[in-house]
Amino acid sequence: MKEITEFLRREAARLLSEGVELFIGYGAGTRPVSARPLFATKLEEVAELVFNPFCVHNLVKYLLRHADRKVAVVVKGCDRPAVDRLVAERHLDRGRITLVGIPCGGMLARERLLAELGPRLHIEAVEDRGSSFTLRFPGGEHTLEKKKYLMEKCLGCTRNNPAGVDVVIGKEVLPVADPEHDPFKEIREIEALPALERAAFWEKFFGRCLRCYACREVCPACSCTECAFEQAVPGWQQGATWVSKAKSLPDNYHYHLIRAFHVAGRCTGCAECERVCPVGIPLMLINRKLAAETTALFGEAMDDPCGALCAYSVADPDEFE
Amino acid sequence: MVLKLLSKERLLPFIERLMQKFLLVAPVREGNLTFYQPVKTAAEVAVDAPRSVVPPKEWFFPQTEEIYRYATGSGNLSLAGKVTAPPAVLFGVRPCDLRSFDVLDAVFLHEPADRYWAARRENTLLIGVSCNTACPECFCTAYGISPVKGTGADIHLTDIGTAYLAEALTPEGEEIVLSSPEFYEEKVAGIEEVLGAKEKALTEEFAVQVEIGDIPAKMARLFDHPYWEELSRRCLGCGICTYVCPTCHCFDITDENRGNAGWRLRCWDACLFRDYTLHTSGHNPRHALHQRLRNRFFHKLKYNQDRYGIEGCVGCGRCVALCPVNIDIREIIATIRRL
Repeated sequence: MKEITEFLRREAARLLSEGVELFIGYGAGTRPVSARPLFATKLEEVAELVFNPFCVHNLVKYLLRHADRKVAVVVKGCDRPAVDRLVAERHLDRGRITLVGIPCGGMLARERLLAELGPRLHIEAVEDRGSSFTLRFPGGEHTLEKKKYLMEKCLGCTRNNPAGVDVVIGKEVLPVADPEHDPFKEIREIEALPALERAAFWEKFFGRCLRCYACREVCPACSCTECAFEQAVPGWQQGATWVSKAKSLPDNYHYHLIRAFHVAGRCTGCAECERVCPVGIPLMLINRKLAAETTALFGEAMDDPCGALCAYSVADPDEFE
Repeated sequence: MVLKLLSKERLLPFIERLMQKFLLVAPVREGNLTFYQPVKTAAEVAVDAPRSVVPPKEWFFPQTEEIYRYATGSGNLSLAGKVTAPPAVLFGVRPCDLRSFDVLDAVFLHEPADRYWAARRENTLLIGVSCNTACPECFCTAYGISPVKGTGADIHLTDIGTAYLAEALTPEGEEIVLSSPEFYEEKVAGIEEVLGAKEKALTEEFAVQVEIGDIPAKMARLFDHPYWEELSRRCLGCGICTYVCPTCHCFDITDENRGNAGWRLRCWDACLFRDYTLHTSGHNPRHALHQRLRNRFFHKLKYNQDRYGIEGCVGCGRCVALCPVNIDIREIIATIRRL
């Protein structure tokens, strides 16, 4: 991974000296086994860029804040589709963006790492061994089987070599998906529950929701400049809004289900929403379920950059007929 | 002050005795998260639970609170307001969160006092607990808080191995302790050394030793510094830091209406939200994210001290642990000292 980091820094320096005004990548975090978004505008800042299995963030949404500049952004396979979505919805000009694709050997699930190895890791280097990562620390090393330590989204990943990018950092890598992993197993288990138990499952999670809106803010599909949940509806003088500000079970349900439907057909499966949630709501169960539903109803959304639910065709399924 | 030893086997009976007279709000585990909630049985209490996601200030300042409700009809108006403040015990509060109640008292009890906060503070017995382990993000000692001292609690428990040291620190705490003498033994010698060693060991577990120095004065020169805009580049503008912070206290008042009836609510608000300073005219003094993020840190690290004479942060580390993009107040403090 050291070579990838060095290649990345060289390319970033080249791009910044060739007219790119802002390079968005990853830098080291202040906590063990973590990275964070890094914004480089000057050549000396590229020395802080890194790429490792802690680079979990989807950086694409930051492009919206810099739509008027020439920007380069690092994308993993799971980040890449969000670019097409935002370009198709006319938020971004593809001509101003340089996509720096990094073939990805998987991202490590931080909680599981910390639970296994303790909260005070000091990792000096990481090697990608194909089916495992080796983390080197002062005095030794840990080898972690990817099957057990990758993020859930990685276990089902079929797109870890980002395509349609302007620069590729490093060579193509082998798929990281675990063929035995079934991303719909938990969804089927929940669907099989009797209604009261299913309700209890979701009530436990939605009851915890803090309405911090981190899921919305991090999501590349949530690109509205004024969100429905911030809008006062006609009759605002009487205090009407689409969703109450109150943290209550009905209002929390309301927020999550509406957001899930706004995102349906447009979600690119980056799973950032679930990662950022401070109370562990399993949002990807809903998003994956809705993605499967839209595919079943409307076919593969990939062909239509606009997305299944943003276009109308007379041939669309119509259950009322 | 009364000092006793409470043996570990007597902790559950002690809690059960409290539950006979009070509503007990205590840390409970749900999966790998800790929440402060009213409990039905003493067995639910997780005394040594890791730091909660939402701080216990929520008991005094709930995320959503009804101020009043009204109904109109045939020319009449009915109005019902209430202050909910049942006699309660808030159990298992860590020293950082105990300090946060002092910070919030300065805000909420400042004349005119907030009746809701005041009533619940008045009716709640506080039982603190010393930390047994520190999270790497903790830095309470930077603010003169000790992870083994119960300043602000009525009773404070410290695990000293075989038993808990039980300190009754207020008349209310003493009354509770002395009313059940059968629970306790007299303290043995050497407690000071044990506490000192425990505090030292805990402080060593902090990943970063934060030095505050004179941050408020340093910040006075930094309002227009480009650092805030650079920091805000990765900020999502969500409310995680605000909603997990023990000292944050901003709220919004909204009215909700259903035809002839409605209610007024107070809800938590976050200064990082886009519409936090949005005027009805459409003008927004903090329209840019970097202005809002700057405001957060100025409030936390300077304004609170300037206005109330008490530091706005308690070093609990929640925001450091939970910010999705690693905006780290420890790093910000160190940067401010350097700039």
